[in-house]
Amino acid sequence: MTDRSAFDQLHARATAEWNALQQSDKTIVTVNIHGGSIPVGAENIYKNLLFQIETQQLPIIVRKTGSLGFEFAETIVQVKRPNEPTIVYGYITEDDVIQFLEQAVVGENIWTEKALGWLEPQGLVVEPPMTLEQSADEAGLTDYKGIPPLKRHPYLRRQTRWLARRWGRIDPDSIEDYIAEGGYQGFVKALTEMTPDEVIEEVKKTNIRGRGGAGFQMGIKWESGRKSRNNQKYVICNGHEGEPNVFKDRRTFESDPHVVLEGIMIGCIAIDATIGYAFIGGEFPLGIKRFKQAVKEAEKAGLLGKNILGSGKDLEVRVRIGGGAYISGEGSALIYSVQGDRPQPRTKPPRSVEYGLWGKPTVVNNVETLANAPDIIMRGGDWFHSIGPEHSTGTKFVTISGPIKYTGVSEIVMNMSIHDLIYDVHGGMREGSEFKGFQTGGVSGGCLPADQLHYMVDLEDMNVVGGMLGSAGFIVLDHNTTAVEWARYLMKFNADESCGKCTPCRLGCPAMTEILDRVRYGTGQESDLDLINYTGKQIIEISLCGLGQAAPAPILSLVQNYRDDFLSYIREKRNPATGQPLVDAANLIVLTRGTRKVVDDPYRIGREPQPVPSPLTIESSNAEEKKIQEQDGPPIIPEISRP
Amino acid sequence: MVQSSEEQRIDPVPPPQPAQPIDLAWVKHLMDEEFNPRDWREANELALLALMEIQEHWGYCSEDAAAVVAEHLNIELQRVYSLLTFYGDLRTTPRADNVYIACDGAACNVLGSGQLVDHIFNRLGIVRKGQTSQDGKVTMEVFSGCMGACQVGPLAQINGKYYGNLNQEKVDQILNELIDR
Repeated sequence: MTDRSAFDQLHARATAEWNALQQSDKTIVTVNIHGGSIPVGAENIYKNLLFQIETQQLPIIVRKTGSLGFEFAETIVQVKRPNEPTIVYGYITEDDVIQFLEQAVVGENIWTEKALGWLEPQGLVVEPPMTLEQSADEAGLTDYKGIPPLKRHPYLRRQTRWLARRWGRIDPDSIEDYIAEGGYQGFVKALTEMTPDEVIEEVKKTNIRGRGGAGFQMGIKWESGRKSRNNQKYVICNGHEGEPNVFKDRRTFESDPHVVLEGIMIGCIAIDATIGYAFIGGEFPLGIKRFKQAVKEAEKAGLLGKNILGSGKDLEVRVRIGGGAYISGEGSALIYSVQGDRPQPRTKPPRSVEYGLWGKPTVVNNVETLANAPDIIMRGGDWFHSIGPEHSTGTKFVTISGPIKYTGVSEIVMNMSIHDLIYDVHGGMREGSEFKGFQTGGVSGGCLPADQLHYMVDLEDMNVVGGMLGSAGFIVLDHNTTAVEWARYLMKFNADESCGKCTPCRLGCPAMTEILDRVRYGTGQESDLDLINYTGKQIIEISLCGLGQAAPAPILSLVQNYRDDFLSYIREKRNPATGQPLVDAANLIVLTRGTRKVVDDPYRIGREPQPVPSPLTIESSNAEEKKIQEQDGPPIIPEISRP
Repeated sequence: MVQSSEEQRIDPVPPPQPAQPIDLAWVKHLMDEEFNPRDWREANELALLALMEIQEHWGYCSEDAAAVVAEHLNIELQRVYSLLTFYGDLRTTPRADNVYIACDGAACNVLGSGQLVDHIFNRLGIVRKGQTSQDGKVTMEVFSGCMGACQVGPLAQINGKYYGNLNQEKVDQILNELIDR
């Protein structure tokens, strides 16, 4: 594109196409295809729908889109018939396709059993800090043919939809859809109407803090990036979401990849960088595919490349993929990973805005932080600042998983208590599950028991009890999980993912796993709990990076809050959840084909196996031993003398 | 009989021999076609992507293939090896025909995947993730990230297909099918 008017033409064309589609006299069926619905068969539903429509020659348009945030009701299919609002159907399975076509698409019926609600033409969007129910009340929405408005769905009632307003609406592979919905306006405004200093001024006004976990002020980061003098600077989008239960960034990449790209581009303009990177975790291939497609489309449209819109600025966005190492998400480790080194964190300072990628000033921001940038430019910093409390402005994506009724990505204003988040938004516990604990901060925060749920879900409030917002991935534990098993799981995860650079984390995490295994197998003592506290505090104090500093935190809070569980393992030697006696570690040894192995030997965690051959695999000249080997069943291990 | 702790640490499952060695000419062709860095910085950045591309096609990435990558990108071999050995996703040995990837993310773990994984390890006679059962039929992987469908956990991806809401009976049934095949 050569100048601003070319973009305006593209915008006009895209809007016209979008409006024509909305007012089309054909029925539009939209299937939500993303990482959470593919496992339950969304792709097959899409293909089957296309096949059925082709064979029956029906006048129906089939589209695909990203997530609507309703993970629990996948697969979701939306049906928009002419002169009717969109009806959203959930829990559609692969076997339902033909019945679905008959009952919900062709004709005028509505499949009431599977309908979740009806949706207005503008989709799920509300001006924050209003909630969806408030906006439904204001508009006076009522039932349509017995179907309630989707905005009154119990999962959505107290949510806000702003950042996710295009989710489940646009085709993630189409730049035209995104532009028609107001996309790239912020970038064009920042490029042509504003100076970089004005952009940073707006961002600073918002008081927006990073969404990745550390909560650093985005405006200050950008300002220091701008002030560093160098011929080359970089912006990196940290999309390596390695925490074992968080998928907000993954859904952003899958449902609205262009907004992330636009955020990176605005960041590049603000700090005068010409190259931006998107570092995406290798765990979500669909997100990578859709983001790469977004970059390609933007290049084709002339929004990336040389001399963009005649402004004289060059921009390039490169996609880099992580290789399944959790530590890659740490700021400095991420930079090493992009460089093609082992991702091992380094000491700070210098911070990455002074000495980052290839020694140049580099701004590293989370996906969700960057996705907020276009709105900040369009609406202004004061608008953003007015949403939510002073220390936690803006809306926040939250993912909760575990035995909870409504699993999914929700978007809230950060003025809600944990209790409300669990029971009013995510629907409370599933049937037969009893609330036990609320694990905060992914695998790095404290675990809060039932009497601490009045703390707020924001960046400050729950820190006083050892909780942590982190990237707002939470796990709810029920009565089937014991604190010991859970602590051991978290510790093992961190021990496995430790990069091995600094000693306290490399040796301390396996050592703590070892202590927890002792407790788990019934050989623990009460003094082990003090040992956990002592070791944990040492690791927190002297570790190099965030992983080590946070790894023991959940264990310490579990020992503090659920001491009874630990004591039941230690004193009574039984599992408090099932009431069964503990598994003896000796029983876990299995014998197979002359080789002995120990399932999860607690003494070997974090170490590579030693290739020592079993005495039974060595050819023996002793006829008696050979005979033993040939016997069926588990072989008897002969006693051997060692020097 | 008393067993010394050293004896217990024996882990002699041999890695299966590569059924199909990586065609180095193919790797060279791939590098020529897709990985042409403009400067030494980009050459370093592309190393990991190249290794992952090779793995995507061949199922694993051998050290010989890594040597071709290093030579083409003109970077030190040890640097490429250090990537190959660090990243959890990269493998230097091929998998079996059947790949069972159990999700052991936090949510699945709360829903009981930990016990399932222990059960499968016992059943296949393996000790750690990434190993192949002794009959060479099933490779077991444990994915400690998140597969992203926590609503149907515990979840597993078996030969590219997802299975949700697993329990011990379902797992046994699936494993029987895989082993009988």
